Amino acid sequence: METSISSISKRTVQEYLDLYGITEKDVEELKAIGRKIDPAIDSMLDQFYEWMGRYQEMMAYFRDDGTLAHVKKMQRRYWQIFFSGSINESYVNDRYKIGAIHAQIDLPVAIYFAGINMLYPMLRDHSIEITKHESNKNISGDAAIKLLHLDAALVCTAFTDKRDQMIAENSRAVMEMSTPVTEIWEGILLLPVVGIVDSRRSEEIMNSVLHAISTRNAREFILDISGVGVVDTAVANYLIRITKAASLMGCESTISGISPAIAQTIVQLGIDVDSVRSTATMMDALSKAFRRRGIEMNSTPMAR
Amino acid sequence: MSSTQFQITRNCATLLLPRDFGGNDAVEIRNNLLESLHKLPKVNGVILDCSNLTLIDRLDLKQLLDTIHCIHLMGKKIGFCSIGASLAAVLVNLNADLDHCYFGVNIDDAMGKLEDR
Repeated sequence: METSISSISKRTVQEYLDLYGITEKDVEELKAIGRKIDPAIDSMLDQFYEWMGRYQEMMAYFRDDGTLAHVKKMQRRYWQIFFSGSINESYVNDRYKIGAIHAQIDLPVAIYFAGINMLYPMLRDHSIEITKHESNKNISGDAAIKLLHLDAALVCTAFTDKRDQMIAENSRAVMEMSTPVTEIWEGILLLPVVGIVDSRRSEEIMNSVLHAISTRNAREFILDISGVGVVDTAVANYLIRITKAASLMGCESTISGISPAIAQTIVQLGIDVDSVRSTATMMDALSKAFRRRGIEMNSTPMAR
Repeated sequence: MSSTQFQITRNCATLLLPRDFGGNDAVEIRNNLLESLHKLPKVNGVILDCSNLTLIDRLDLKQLLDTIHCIHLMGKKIGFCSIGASLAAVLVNLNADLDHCYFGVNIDDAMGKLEDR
């Protein structure tokens, strides 16, 4: 048995073996079953796919006969490796990859476990059969079950990793979409913030705003928080820091749409509110910014 | 005090501060006033009428300053009117930060100053 650190998880192969109680004796048992079970694998798989065929939901994952034949071939190889007894880093990685593929095609975990549940009695029956006809009475069938559980755990790890990765990617995308710093006029940046603002999002806002001020050489920045109900003191502090940092870059900052709750949070912080330029609405902030930039807005009747 | 009564004239809210301004009443006045201002975006200023308020201690002054700082943050102008001599002396002695406020002799005067700016 090889003992090395898996590239996927933080556990070593030996730690996995210890966790699932897979001993040298179990490995020998797997090899012994493997030698006898090999000719029966095809019939086992036929039974398995016959069972799957009863469920439209499962067969939907096989687009055509070619795909089905390919998956059957891969599964034959899976069982050959399973009964080879070589549980090493490559084995762990392969099982993890299988889980990743299942997650990729959105196979529900419930279906995966239904498959395991279906295979379990077949493996047990074959093990009993081998024990009956062979002099090797030490075969209990436990080894196959232990390894099957380890396989399932690795597949589930891949599932959760994939989901975590998707959640992280989605939240990153949402984060990028949630800080749309827009140059609404030459030198005037506007950022309307809507929803829940936590420390992480405020840090993201700060980075986006300061980057936008620097790249667009902005002179005015309006942070509209009318779509934010409440913030904690840390976030309120961040919002004030954003405006102060912008001022240090030579950009006049205005916060518009401060709600009563946020106003009270800022005041509780003991910040010198005179240093914060604020307006009731985004419209006020815009018209003041235009005035400071010497831009005059006139309403003229539309030509007909 | 069960509710905060204020009048709205020329897009300006006028609130008569009670004689016993302070403690829980001050917090209630602040909360009610801020919520009302939030619901009335057309109101662009608040005048605090101090006709009844003759004295204020340091703690109650903090409540008052917190209220006007919140009003300021919400983008509204703040005016005071009818501040008596004793209250004026207390405000100066306690170094009250009222730099962004406007002051009038009476409501009309304060309202005029708020409208000018």
